Amino acid sequence: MTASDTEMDQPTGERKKRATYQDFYDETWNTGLFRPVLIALIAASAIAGPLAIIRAFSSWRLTYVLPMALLVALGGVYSTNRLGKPRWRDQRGLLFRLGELMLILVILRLAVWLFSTGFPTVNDMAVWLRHPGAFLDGQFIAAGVLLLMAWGLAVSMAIDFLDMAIQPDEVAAHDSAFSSDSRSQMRVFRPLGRTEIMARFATRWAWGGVLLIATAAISRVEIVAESPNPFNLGLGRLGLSPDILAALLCYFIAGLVLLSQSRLAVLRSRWYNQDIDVQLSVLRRWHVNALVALLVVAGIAALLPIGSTGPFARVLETILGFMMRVFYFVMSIFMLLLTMLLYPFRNLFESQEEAPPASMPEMSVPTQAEAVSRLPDWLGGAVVWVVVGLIVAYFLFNYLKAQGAFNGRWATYWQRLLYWWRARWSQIETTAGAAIKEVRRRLRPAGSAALDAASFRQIRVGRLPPRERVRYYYLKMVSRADERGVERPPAATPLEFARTLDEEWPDAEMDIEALTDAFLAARYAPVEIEREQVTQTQETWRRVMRALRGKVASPPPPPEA
Amino acid sequence: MMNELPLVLLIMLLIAVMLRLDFIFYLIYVMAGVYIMARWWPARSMKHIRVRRLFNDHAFLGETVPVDLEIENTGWLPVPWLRVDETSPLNLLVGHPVHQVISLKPKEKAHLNYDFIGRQRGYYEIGPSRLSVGDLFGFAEVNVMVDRRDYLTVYPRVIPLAKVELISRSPHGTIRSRQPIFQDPDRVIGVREYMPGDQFRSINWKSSARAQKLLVRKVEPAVSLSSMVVLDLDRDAYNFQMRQVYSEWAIIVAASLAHYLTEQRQAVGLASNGRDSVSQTAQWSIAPRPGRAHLMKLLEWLARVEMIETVPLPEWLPTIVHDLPWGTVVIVVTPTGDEATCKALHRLQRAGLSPVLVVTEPHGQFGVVRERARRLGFPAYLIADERDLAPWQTRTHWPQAA
Repeated sequence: MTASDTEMDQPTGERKKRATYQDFYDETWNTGLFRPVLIALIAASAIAGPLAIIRAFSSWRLTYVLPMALLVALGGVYSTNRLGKPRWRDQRGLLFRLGELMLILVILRLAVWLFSTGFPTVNDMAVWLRHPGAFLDGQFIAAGVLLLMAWGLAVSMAIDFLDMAIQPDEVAAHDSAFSSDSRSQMRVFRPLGRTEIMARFATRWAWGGVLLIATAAISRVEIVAESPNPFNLGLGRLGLSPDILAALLCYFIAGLVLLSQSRLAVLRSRWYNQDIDVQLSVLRRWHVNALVALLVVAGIAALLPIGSTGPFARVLETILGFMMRVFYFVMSIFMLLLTMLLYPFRNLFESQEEAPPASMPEMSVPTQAEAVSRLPDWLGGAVVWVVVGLIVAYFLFNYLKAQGAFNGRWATYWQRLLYWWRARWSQIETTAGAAIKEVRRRLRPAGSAALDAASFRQIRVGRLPPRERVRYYYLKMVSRADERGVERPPAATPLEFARTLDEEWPDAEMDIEALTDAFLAARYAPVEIEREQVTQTQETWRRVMRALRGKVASPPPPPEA
Repeated sequence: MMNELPLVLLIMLLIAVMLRLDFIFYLIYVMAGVYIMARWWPARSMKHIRVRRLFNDHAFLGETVPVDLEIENTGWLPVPWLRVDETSPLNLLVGHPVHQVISLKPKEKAHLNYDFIGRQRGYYEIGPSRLSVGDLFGFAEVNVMVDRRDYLTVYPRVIPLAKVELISRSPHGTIRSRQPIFQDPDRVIGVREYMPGDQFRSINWKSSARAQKLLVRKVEPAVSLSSMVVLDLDRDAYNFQMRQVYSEWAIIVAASLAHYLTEQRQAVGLASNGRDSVSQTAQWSIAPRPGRAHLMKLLEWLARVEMIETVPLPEWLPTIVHDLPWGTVVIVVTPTGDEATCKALHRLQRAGLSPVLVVTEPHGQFGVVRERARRLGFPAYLIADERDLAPWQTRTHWPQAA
């Protein structure tokens, strides 16, 4: 869309700039507040009927629902329009929508407390902890369903209007330099045309209006026992509350204006695809003409006689009343005949034996073991709340992150907080590590050998690679020597330690040196260790281990005086 | 939805009547009103739309003709959108055809402008315009073909000629002649001494008295070139492959000759066996008349004429010359100088007319044709392209005449 405008602005012969994805986005159609407000008005008005019914059958204070539905619908349209933008395509998906729904439900919960039931007490919270289902009270569920209905309607209508915008493939086909190509060739397959979308929208709107009227009317029905006119119905005069009247008016007027907008979308795309120049005044005057036409019609309609007082309505009412009474009469006759017909068979449906009285359900008495091992009664609820809280937090986090809530100033604060925490955590780790090391060092003579032995025992030697097996044998020897009182000083090299061992176990001198050499080769030499070498080393190691097992090292000589 | 709306309104009416909801009646009124208005508005708007084209309906070759398409809403209701699809001759149009959507306030006029360029002589139809008007809600759309057609005449190309060697037998004209037989007593150029044989009435008595000897008026011979240009547009006479090119060239030659003779203040007529695209008449002729207005008439007919399959020139030629005055020059512009044509021209020559053969297609053996024409007593010229016309464009050179 913008590409063509840009092209028009450029002087002839100037090289056309490379189109970006933004050039293929119908910015003109998808921006503005007019259509979102109208969609939100329709969506919010649509729930006025069911709301009136709920009001009629409950004592809840639901005055906040309609304004909140308006806001929720507006939010749905806004987010749908945002998701329609090319740079938001990565966010399209169920996760974003679920996050949006979670946000709506969280706000609704707060609104129910704020405007109707009051904020919960500690006792309430205790009940919710034990019985999480109690959190979902009737009012919250009813209002939630209504809000989600409004939100869903708004989103579906917003999607319809997004689909009616000029699509990127149309822009590409329009601006194509390949004049020989058929434009339809370049278009992707579109399952639904704009005219069909418009018809779908109009049909939903019209039948939704009928439903709205019916539900709004049902909420005010009063049956009267006796009617003065025998041909009239037995219904009392009805009156609708002002907010329902406003909702009805909004629904139909906004619907007509949106119908006009969808008509504009259909024509606009048709003209665009057929390369027809459209004067700016057409688009500029469209809204004004539609509004003026509606106002004129609404003004003339206001001057007409009120329907129920008009002769036509009276005649129609009488005819309908007569028809209803005839229908009632016919149905009565029919039921009478049916009853008479079925009367002889009445015994077939009566039971011969009286049913035994219902026994009392047995009480289940927990056993002693069950009673002792029973978990706290709040634990299940707490687990549910933790899971629900995590899910809600996850969805909300994703939603807010997509919305950019973690960018800007708040993101800076969050990052600072994160860095601060990491620094503190690093300090804690360092301190704790040092403390643990110190404790280990102090406890080492008593427990380190056992600990090392235990850790060595856990190793499956056969699965180690040859080089590691050699190292294992050597370290095992060191460990065994340590157990026998010959500790390897931390600064001693393997050769130095080997000399120490030779002094203690001179019988195993050759084997100790061979094992040390094998270890040095495995540890430092860049050559491949063969399996045969490992086998030889294992034999050597066994002999060394036997030698070490046989004799305890002599204690170190006392320091000279 | 458009079909379901009456049903929806009926159900709403039933609900309103049964439940006595006055407000629903109001909504029904509004929706029904919108529906009725949407059906009625476009049809009414269409009745009050006037379309007019303002442009110069005659143009010379290469001339730009701006067209102003004026669309007026004479009604008191606005027209929310009006789509105009103008039908225009594409070979003259500058840019894209006019397809535009406009909006009109009450009593407002809109002007859509576009240009033609006279690229090709002809008689072009402009229009009709297709107008589409619709409502704002998608209930109705009205399409109307405005059958107002205008016409643009693009004159053929005229090549200015300076001197064309045409021999006339009509005395008392305005063109100087070399033949003393056509002396014009009104074109006195001096006096000379009387010679035996001079007519008595030619003596200039005042000059003779002053000179004391007989002097007679010396007059210049002059002829009248009352001419008829005959254009052969029989399709079969032209070469199959190049007939479009050479038929157009023949028209250019005829127009240039008519223009030249008019500039010489001679009466020129025009006849052709082609078809006039307006009257659809074939084989027509216009009697010789002098003057620029008559020239424009001839050019207009030349602009409109079309080549068709018609009566061959030799058969048709005698029918148009029978009422021409004696001595009229008959310039036959034809693609071929075949024997039948030459014989037809010879018959004209014998009937006292002065035929001239102008062949407009290249001819491999035009010398034969020219010789044949010379023997039959009329000149023949080969003007197959603009270079052949060059000698007639300067006064110093003469075309090869018989």
